[in-house]
Amino acid sequence: MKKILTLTLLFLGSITTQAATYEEAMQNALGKMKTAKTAADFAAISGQFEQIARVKSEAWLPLYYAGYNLVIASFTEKDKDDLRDSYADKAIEMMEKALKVHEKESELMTMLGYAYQAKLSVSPMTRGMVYSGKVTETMQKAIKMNPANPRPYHLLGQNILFTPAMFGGGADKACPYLKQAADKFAKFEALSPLHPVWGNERNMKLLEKCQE
Amino acid sequence: MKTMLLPAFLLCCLSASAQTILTGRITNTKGEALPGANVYVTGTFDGASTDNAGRFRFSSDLPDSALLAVSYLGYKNQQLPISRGRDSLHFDIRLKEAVNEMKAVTITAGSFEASDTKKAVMLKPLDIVTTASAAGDIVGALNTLPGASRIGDDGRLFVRGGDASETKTYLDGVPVPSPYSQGFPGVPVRGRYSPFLFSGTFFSTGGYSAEYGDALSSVLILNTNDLPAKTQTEVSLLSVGTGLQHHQVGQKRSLSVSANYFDLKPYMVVIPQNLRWLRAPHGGDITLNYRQKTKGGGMFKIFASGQHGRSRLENFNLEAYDQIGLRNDNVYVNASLRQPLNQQWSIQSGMAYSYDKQLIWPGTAQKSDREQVFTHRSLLRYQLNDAITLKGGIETNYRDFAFSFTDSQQVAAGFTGWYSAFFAEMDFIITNYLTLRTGFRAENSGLTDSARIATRTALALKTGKNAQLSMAYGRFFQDPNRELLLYQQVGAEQADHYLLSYQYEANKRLLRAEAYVKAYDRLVRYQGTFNGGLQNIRNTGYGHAYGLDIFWRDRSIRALDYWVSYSWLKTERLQQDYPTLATPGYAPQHQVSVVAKYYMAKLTSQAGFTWTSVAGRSYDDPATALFQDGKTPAYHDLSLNWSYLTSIKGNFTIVYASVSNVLGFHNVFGYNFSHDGTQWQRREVGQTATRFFVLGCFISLGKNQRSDADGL
Repeated sequence: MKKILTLTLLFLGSITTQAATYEEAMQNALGKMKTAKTAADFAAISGQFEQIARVKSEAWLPLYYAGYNLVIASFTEKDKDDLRDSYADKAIEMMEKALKVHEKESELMTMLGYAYQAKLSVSPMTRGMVYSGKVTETMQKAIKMNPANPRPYHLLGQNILFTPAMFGGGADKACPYLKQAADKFAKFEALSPLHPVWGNERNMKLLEKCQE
Repeated sequence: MKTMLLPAFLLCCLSASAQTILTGRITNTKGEALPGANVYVTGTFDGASTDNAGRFRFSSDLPDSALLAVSYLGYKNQQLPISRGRDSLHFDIRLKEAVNEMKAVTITAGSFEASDTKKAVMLKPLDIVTTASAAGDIVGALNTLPGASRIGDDGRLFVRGGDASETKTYLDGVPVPSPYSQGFPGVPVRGRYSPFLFSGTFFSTGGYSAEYGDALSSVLILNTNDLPAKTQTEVSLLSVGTGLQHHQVGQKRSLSVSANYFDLKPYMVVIPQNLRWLRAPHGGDITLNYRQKTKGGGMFKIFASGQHGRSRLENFNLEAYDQIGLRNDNVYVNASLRQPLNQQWSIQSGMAYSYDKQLIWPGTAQKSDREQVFTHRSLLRYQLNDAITLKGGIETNYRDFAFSFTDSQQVAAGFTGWYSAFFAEMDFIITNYLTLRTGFRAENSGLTDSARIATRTALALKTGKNAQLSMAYGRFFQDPNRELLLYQQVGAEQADHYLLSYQYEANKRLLRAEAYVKAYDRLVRYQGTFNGGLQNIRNTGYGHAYGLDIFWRDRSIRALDYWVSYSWLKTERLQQDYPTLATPGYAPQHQVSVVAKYYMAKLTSQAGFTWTSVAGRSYDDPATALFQDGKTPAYHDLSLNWSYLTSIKGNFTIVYASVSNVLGFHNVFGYNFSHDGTQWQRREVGQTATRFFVLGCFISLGKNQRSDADGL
């Protein structure tokens, strides 16, 4: 009797610790993102998510955040173009790999587009032609996969906002996207506390430019 | 007894699940801390990243046969076994740098590369287009780099004391036999192809890879664009002509067609010319580009171009003007494939057909040069591991040249012949600090009836965080010019290159200093003139060149980009009809170029200038006893350009203006001498016009970002 009890206890214990550990590991890494400042910080956090992805290989969220942190690292790094490129390249590679398994995940597709945006921003003059098209194409795909996802609208709007008017950018063209993003952010509900929720604050800030 | 068991059991379980504290320090092989490295226990979520001193500390319930894993971008991952049953464990781990192409030191001796995709390149393709003195010509931009001499009355590439024919051009991996437009003597020519066609340009000023050959001094490697970004139409309006281009882009393939027409007649009516043009240069071209992505990440390309040009002028010949006309027809078709076969193997293969016909009418006579060339080049690449790449390939070409001169009677000559080469080369990244490239090229030319083997070796050594040294040695052969090949008894010429190069790059600033020595041997000597016939042709000439090239580029200042290059060159040759060892007329001793570009965001404009000063060139004054002892005055030029980006009715538009020789220098390139019976008379070979103006407008029609019109 006692044997059964102990076994049951152990069994239950192992399940709960396991589940808690994934959640905990994710929460821990997500928490670190709030205090991270330098590109190296974000790169390290990306590594942490990568480690979680190795253990929890069936989940797409760890891969998603590993890519997200690399993209932020690429945008945060100011001086070394080579480094900016290698962060963005790694993010692109990761997202392409993840999309092969999770074919219909709009958030992964969005992150791929965001990584293209990082590539573009390293050298807008020379890469604008090729990467601007890639960003648009990828975001449109992400919208098709899940029209309720506000982030591709937000990033698309942001991309157009910072594109000079003569290349088909500017506030008047960007604002419809940002407004759509705002509507979708208002209705958006994350499936779990670990699912991505970012973008609303920045979207509101960018929307202010539309009112100007 | 049973009641005793449970606590014992719990105890044992507690101790088994007791947490072990793991601490340690992660460094590189030199013992320098690696902050931000990831340390974790495999199969668990337990881990940490290192602090600024490379230290880490975390605790873990160690599972069975767990490993401690360390990962860091750019380093080899490492895993260590962890022994269980202790409260704390300490690890000091040294990570080895991952050997890979991205981080490894690259061989830079003798090379300038412009690319958007590769790292550590000196130029972007756009830099070529926006160089003030280039006037939209690739060669014009390359002439601002050290090692290239600007020969204002010729326009082609003269590299480190070599004649223009010593530079060979490759397009998508296949040789281009006739890369320049044709012109009269003293009228500078341009590269045939628009810089907008290419996304990768590699210019070697010496010591280049065994992949390339039959060129004594230099190679220029041009790679055409892959798929264009979107379907669109472009219109160009220039002060000297107009053009139309359309790209049709699908998911996997694209077709681009462009047609250009130029006529300098209206321009020359407005802008005074120093030459007496009877008919200004005019002509046109049609270019076709087909791209197809193949399975497995390959690309198939067809590049086809047809060009036609003609002009007529009055040329001062001895004591009188006589008319001279010129007509050039050129066709070049190139089909190439690059295809990864699997993880290790890849192939690059291409073939091309070139047809070039030039007719010249001096007075009532007619001179005709017609050359057809079939070329093929294939290269197989094998990646043995991260460190070693092996390359091997073949290059073959068949030339058919026909020459005729018709006056009162016709003289005709010609030749046909094969050239073939086999090359093999190894790239070995010994460490991230040391890279070796070594190979050989075996060539067999039916035209000079010679078999020859050339070895090439280059080495790059990283000497500091931002500094590196490169060395290169190579032997190079080349068949002599086609006029000489009409005489059967001529042999190939030879050159040895020795290069030592230092490069420092930090904070968007780059400095390169390169010293070189070239030894020429077996240069062709002869007596007589081309018109009168050559005698006593033999490969007994020789020569040397040595010099120093310095390049400085600074992009650290916002919106400003500038580079400065300086070349110092000493060369002497015993060649052609030279009576003694002498400096050729195309080898000035000093050249300085300053290229600057400034982007003004508010005006959406870029303004730029190029300053070039070239020391005087040698020429032979027949009135003196010495050979090649004259020196022309130094050459100076200040060119300005302005590009303004705007949109016309929503269509992206670039308005472009450039002017050469703003300060109006009277530049002299050399002299023509004639004897009037009592003494020698000399006439300057000068600029065809004091200044050259370009005014242009490029409009991209269509605003659609997506390629929704998949018409292919």
